Amino acid sequence: MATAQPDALLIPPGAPVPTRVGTGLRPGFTRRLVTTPIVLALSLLALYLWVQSRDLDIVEDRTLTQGQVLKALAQHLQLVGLSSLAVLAIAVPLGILVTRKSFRHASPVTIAIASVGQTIPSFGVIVLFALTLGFGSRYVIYALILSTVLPVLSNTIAGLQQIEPALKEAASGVGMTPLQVLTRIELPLAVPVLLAGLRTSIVLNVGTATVAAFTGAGGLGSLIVTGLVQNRDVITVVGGALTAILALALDHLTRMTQELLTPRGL
Amino acid sequence: MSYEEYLGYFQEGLLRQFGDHLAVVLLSTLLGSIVGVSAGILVRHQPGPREIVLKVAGTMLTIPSLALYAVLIGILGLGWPPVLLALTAYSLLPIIQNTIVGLNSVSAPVLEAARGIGMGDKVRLVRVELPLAWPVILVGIRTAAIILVSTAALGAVVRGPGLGNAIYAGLNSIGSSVALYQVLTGVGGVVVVGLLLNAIFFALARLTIPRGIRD
Amino acid sequence: MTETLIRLEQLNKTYPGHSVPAVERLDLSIPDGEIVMFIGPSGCGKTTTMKMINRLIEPSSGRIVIAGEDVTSIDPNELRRRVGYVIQQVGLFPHVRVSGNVGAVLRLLKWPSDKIARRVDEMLDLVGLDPSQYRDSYPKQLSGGQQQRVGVARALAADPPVMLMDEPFGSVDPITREHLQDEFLRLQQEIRKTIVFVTHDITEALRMGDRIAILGERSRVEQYDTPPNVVARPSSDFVANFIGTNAGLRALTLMPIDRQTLVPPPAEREGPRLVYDEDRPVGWHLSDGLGTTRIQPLRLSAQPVLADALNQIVSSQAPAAVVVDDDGQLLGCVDMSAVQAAVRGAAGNGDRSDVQMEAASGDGSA
Repeated sequence: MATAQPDALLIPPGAPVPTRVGTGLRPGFTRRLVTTPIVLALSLLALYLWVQSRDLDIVEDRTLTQGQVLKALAQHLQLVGLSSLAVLAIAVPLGILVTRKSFRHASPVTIAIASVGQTIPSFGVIVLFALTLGFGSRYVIYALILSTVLPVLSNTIAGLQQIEPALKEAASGVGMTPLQVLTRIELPLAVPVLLAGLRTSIVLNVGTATVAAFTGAGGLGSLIVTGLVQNRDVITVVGGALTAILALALDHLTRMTQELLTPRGL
Repeated sequence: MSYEEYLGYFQEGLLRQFGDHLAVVLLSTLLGSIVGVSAGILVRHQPGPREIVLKVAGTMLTIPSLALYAVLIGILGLGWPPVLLALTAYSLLPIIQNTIVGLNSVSAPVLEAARGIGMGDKVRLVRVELPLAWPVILVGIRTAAIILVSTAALGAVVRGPGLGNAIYAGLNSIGSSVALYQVLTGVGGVVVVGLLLNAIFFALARLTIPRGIRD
Repeated sequence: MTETLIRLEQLNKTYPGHSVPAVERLDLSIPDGEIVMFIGPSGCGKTTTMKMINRLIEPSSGRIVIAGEDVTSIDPNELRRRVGYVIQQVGLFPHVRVSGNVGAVLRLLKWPSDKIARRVDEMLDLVGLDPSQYRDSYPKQLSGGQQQRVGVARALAADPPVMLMDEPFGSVDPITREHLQDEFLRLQQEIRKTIVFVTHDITEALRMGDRIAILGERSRVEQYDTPPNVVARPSSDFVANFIGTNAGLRALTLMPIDRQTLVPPPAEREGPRLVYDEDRPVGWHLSDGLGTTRIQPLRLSAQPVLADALNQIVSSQAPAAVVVDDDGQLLGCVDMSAVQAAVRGAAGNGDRSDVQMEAASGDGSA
């Protein structure tokens, strides 16, 4: 698997790594920042060279044009982007709400729903939405939101609940209003956990969005489906590899964001 | 066709799909446990290899399942093999992670006492470290299994086993009266498999965790 | 002197990456059936030295000889099954019942299970735990003191001639600790093991040890002697400092009162006078209007020490402690001058000629 090259393979473990102190970044940030993109770029190159080396028949040649592939990628990013924004807008306020004192009794219920929800196959949700609401990218986005909202919701709850009660008491003790305690103490401290949830959600989203192709919403999944339907492995593999690279790239991007936004003291 | 009629008509196939779904999840979890626990044991003390193994397993989990199925059918063809292999790959991260954490959190005095009374490395691993790490490892295995339950559904796309086939059949018969029945039954069946697995792991924990270290 | 059971010869340990050795050219003979206390400042290498005996730490060079056999190059696991090991944090296996813990070494030695079961009960009896009550308990159901008893039982199960104990009573409360120490000394009377006991507590060292090895940097043996001698004749300022400023008081607990220590009671007219009841001393009539105080005279046969005498003097406000025979008849008194002389001598800064050293430097069995 070309994409599975971990950065640790490139720099031997234990080798002295130049670190920057005082910039607010953790040691090795630059190394971690650049290795994954380099590995992914090399994987893309390898994929390109592999496709070039094959004798493509007419179906493969027509499907794998630059324009077709870029269009699929753009559709995919649109599905993922819109639904992820919606997930943030829904899950974070909801997570804040259920962790307020007056809702405390509701959060075990939320968690119980979440653990059952974890096993609902997103494939089924997308098909169900297409079946009941209709085809098209709008309904796919609804289905994606429903399928990927849980990691952000549960991590928002976990991030807020992990904060020591004493800290919150101290904050209200110095005269902060509940809103100030939330925005100045709780949310900044919950950000790392929350972002970890967002990362999981986005990666999940990239994968789930491939299924959109089955309901005609396009995206990289359409390459995979075309390959499967037309029995052309090259197309299937290209679609699969591109999706994998996209998922790894977005995972990397959110991971680095997470690192940048985490308070240095944590 | 009413839902009852649908169920009556497709009962046999659905039951087989249910059994297959459970089987493919359990089988890949088992394979993943063998590979993952062994890998965890091997790398637990070496930071370098540990980082590599975790990174590889993490990368696997990041690759979307449809993409992995797609890439794997280029090598393994359609049916059970690509699904089994992909699911096994997905199960690795939580299992390896929990194996390492579990083993490395066995208390130092207990290990020292074990060494001090003359237990060699292997005996110590089998009689002390693994039993003490087991509750944590088991949580990792359960997490893996639960992830696989929903992931396995998409395996139908590459003619894999399980309840995904009911969903896929629904997709292909859109417009007909049974389409909705098929999808709902498929989705519901998957959730039931998940609940069943939770129960299985609860029982497994009860049966295999010694009373002295149960909370 | 008894036979040597453990001999450390020119033992060295240098940890990888360190230029200074942790233990350097250590020679030490440990007599059969005695408790030898290793004590010294933290980082002096006392634990390292002890752990080299069962090779939890491999010596860099040198030899370890146990009962005439060089164990430096035998299979370390085999060696450890013949050396009992007790540590401060006990390290019981939490997933195994008490019986499994005590029988752990026996299982390694492949004893048949019925024999193991019998031996486990025997061991639990020995350390004062009722087998029928505790055999099937899990460690977390026991108190700290009970856990350490199980730890001792586990170490003793295979009847090893040698026991290594690394601050075994260090993590229990002071009252339990004293209780466990007493009990262990009583147990040792019975089992007569050769014990290497690491501690950082000088009181424990003086109380438990037949012999104390005071170790300086790199495990250099600063003094190796019986507790009374270490207190009375520290070999160097290092040892004197280590024993501390209240060494004199500690010394009193190690100095028996014998007939030579005794002086007649003070003459009646000069002050307080002894009050008798049918020829038996029962108290003092204090001269200056303070009335009479009752006393509990010390019986010579109970092997009283100077500390007991001092205690009686202070609590009765009388000029001397009273010592009687088994019949309660007066044998003599111990006055402050005897105590003072002993303290001065023990602290190492006075004229030693006036101290009853015969008593202090005896065979160390006090």
